[in-house]
Amino acid sequence: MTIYNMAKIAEISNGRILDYRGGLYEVVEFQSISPGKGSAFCRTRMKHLETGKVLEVNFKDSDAFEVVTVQRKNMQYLYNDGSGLAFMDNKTYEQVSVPAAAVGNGVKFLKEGQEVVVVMDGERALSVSLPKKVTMKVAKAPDAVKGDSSGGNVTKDVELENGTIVKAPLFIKTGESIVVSTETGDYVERAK
Amino acid sequence: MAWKRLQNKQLQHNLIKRAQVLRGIRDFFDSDGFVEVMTPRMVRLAGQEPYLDPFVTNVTDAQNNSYEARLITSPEYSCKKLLAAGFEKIYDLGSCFRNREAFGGLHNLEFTMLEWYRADADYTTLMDDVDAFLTKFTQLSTSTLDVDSTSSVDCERVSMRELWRRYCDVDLDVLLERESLVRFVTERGIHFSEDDRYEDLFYRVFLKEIEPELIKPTLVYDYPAQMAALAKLKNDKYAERVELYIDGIEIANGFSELIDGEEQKKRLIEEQKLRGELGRDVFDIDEDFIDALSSMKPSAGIALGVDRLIMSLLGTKNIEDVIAFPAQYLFNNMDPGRLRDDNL
Repeated sequence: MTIYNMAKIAEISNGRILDYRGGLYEVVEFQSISPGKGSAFCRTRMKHLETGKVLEVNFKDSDAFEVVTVQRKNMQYLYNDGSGLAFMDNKTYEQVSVPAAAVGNGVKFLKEGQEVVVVMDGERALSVSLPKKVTMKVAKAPDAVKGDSSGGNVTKDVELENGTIVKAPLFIKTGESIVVSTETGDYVERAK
Repeated sequence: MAWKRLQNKQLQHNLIKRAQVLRGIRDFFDSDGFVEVMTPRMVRLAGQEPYLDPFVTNVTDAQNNSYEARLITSPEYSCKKLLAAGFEKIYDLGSCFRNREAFGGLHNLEFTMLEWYRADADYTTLMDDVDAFLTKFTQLSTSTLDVDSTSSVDCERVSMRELWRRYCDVDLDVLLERESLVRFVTERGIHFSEDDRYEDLFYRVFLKEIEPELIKPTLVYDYPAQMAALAKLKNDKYAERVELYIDGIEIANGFSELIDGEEQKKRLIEEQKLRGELGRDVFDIDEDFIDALSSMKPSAGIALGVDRLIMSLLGTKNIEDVIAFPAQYLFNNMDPGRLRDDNL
């Protein structure tokens, strides 16, 4: 069940979800500033739960908002049935369907069995966060051709096991596993 | 154990720089004929700034008489009493205390403040002082101030009105009333709350549109009269208040000092009333301070956050990087294993 509480911005910590102008936002960063001799403010970065869009707003310490009490559940990705993405709670086997938009960019790095954290407002799944880095198998990597790096090209496009294309160094071969950042979508390293 | 944080080589390097800066500050003022005054950290009546929370304690004498006491949020009152008594160039370097502040980031409950005052001077003299002062520290710097160490620092001097014109495309002259500022903030879609005072609305705009632009050392002068604090008015619109910004962070705040005791008392009564409305500790106005003002020559004074100065010299964004024992580690008993891995 959704529990709304009014809370002053100064009492809200990172990770809390607040209702700002009708949208639900997760607070990702705070910086407290007291300008001159005035009242205290918080520079706040917060992420819209559904669109992933990040807003920067300066709140006065006493500004109050509805804070949504949410649950965070570890779940596993099952499949995409076109209308949404299905995830399953490993403990209860309960399944939820989440619109693809709520996963944002991370959707490109989902594969069957991928462990994620689903933010739940009661029965409703609000958003899905992937680990910052995931390991994926390379399904197709063209062989590097001598001279490829001459024009400054030190990367090539490789296809991951779920069909996503990423840029990887020339030495990566089909069948290897690589680590990819789910935030930037960039290649990080060869999996150990 | 929290002490192990002190083994960090980068922190040790920063603390050595810190010591050099403190020595440099004293050299700078001593060689210019300033007198270092050591004013008390614990007093009965602290500053009335409505948004600051002085630490409250009590003092008991040998006869078991008890007195209320507070830690200073600034040495301003004591310094002005010394000016009133005839000292002409003084500085105070030491800890100040503010309760209910963030642990880390730009704040620490106990921080190091430098204040200097000159008789027969106004805020333009302070701006010259700031340039000379920053020039002195360029050699120690590794960041924004790290210009050619032989050249001098000339802060950009810009009025608050010019900044609003430059970054908000509006004449501040027409936004000197709460009502017009509410309209402006609404038009720009800036979040505000109905009970915001003029100053709150002003800072909502300033923090969003202007402060992040003040990267190079900048002296911002002439604040709206509504935000005069302890400054003398320049005219009916603006007060002779100046602030120093570096890297988008406020480093210092100075005034052509108000020496009209009656006007000062009026402002303090308003602040005291606001303290009550904001649910803060309400205490008496320091009448000794009010009385001293009438004996003060026209003077100027400025308060500079030394920790923040050192942060900008070292190019760090967290005050904990320049303090050996920050509040977090004293009161939160933080395990160094949980330290941010991006910095120290």
